[in-house]
Amino acid sequence: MAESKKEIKTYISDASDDMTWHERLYVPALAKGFGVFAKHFFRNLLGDKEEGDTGTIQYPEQKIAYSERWRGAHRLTKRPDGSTKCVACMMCSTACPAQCIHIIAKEVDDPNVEKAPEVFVIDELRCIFCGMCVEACPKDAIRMDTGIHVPAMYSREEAVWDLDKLISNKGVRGNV
Amino acid sequence: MTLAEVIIRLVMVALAIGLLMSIAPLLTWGERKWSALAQDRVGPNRAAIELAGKSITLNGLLYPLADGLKMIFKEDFMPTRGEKFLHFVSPWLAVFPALAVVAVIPLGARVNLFGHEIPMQVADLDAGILYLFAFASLSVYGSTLAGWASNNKYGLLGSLRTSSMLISYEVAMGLTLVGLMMTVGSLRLSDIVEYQQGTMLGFLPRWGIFMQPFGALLFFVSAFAETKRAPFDLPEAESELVAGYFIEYSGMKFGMFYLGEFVEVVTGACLFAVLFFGGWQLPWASSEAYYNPLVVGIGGFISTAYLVFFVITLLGLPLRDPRIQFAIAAGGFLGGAGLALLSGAEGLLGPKGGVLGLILSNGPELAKLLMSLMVFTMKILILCWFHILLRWTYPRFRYDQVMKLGWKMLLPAALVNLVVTGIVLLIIR
Repeated sequence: MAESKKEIKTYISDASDDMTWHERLYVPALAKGFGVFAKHFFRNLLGDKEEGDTGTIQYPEQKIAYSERWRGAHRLTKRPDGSTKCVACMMCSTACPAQCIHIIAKEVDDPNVEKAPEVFVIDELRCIFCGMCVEACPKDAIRMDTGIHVPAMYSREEAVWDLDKLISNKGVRGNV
Repeated sequence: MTLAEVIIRLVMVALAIGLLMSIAPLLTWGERKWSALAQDRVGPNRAAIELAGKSITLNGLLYPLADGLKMIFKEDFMPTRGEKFLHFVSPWLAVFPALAVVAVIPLGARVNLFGHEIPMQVADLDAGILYLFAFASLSVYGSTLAGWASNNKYGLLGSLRTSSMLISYEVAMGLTLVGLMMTVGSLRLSDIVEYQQGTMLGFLPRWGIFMQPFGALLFFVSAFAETKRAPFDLPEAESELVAGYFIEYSGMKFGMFYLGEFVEVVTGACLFAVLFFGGWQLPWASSEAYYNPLVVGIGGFISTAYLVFFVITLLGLPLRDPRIQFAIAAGGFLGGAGLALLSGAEGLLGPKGGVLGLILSNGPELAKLLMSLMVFTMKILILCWFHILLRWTYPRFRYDQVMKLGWKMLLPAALVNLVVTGIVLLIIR
């Protein structure tokens, strides 16, 4: 009988069992807690709005500037004549861990250019934005400096961006 | 009762309800904005009115309006097997007692204006405090019946917790006030306020909080529990009971519970101000001091400056700006000077005829009326602020802790306070 009583006691025991008497009063601790709270209140109320503690960014009006290395949606760079710099060497699609780049090469008449892509598609839904295609490219033809978040779409087909779409994307820092 | 008396009563009712109904929605804004300030957040600032191509947000002040609109147009859900009548009635039962309490609260000094005696309260009852307790007990029904009528287990648990908690704390609340009643020797609230004028022990204002400091603390805790807000929000306890007793309420019915909660905060602040902070009395001064133009000027400066300051913080204007600081000082100066002029002009100019003379001869009483109303509003606003910040500081009690606090700590402490007060009164008198 005594044992079961002890069990119940341990079940409902709380921290106050091993507290000193002034801790049991609770009021000093409550006052201290309120003091911290009020300190923050008045610092934010009376202080400068800019120097306040709130790190909040009012999103649609204010935006954080992305770092220069930030990888957004892809674009293909152009030669002065407007054709793509890509020579369809397949380095990017080989490097791609997500296998989202699909290229079909074609012959060109220009003797300075070995090959050019006939089809160049990137499935932006499969892309993991690792940037390995950019590093693999020997001709600086593919970049991820558009600053574009890939937008939401209604079908998977819309996420497959073709040559024209990729060329038309603009870079954030100059359109090379 | 003459026609003039009826009109005075009706104006008083409008004033009391108007005061409650203007501060309570403001507090829904205040709760969100002030807690945001204390927690280093920005708080609500998006509700806007598009006007001439500019969106006006007023620092989130439009949220009470938007909330009201939303609640009116939301679906009024009714659980299939609930008690239809009780489900309909209980939100009203929750709001009505909270509103009715303000009837006996003296909002300002009793004045003699244009030949009529005007008490600034709806009803000056002999048994004012008993009336308060009666209506505080009635407020249990609203939330208890709400949970019962909802045909919902969580709702029922919430209402059980409400009834047990509120009834437990009413006992303690009643006992904590007995000390004050013994000191003052009256249950009439206007007598209690009149008693709290002047100084005690030579340096303290003779306010309830200095006469009965322990009683004030105990009363504050139990009155806090009566509002059913954190740390005493067990009846709704969103992490345990989803929303507790109003889980099955939506639309304006929910809105009434929500509003009732804030009305309770305001009436709680009114009560505490009347019982322990001298009501409309100025600290250290006697109530005759309201006829002294100098005192009225200084008091008017402080209270007007505070009210301007309050409005400026409502609008979220930067207080560091020298122009804003100037506006606060100028507002306070204008208010103080205006009241002092109103109070002392007849003494300076001598009696005059016509409308001007009528206003001047009633000037001191008019100044007293305005001043006492402002002082009381200032006290209410500060107490409401304190109440809301406390609610955001402390975490919720466990159920057994609430019961332990109520029955094992507050009740014996109130009894000890009663005995000590009795002994001290015997020795003094």
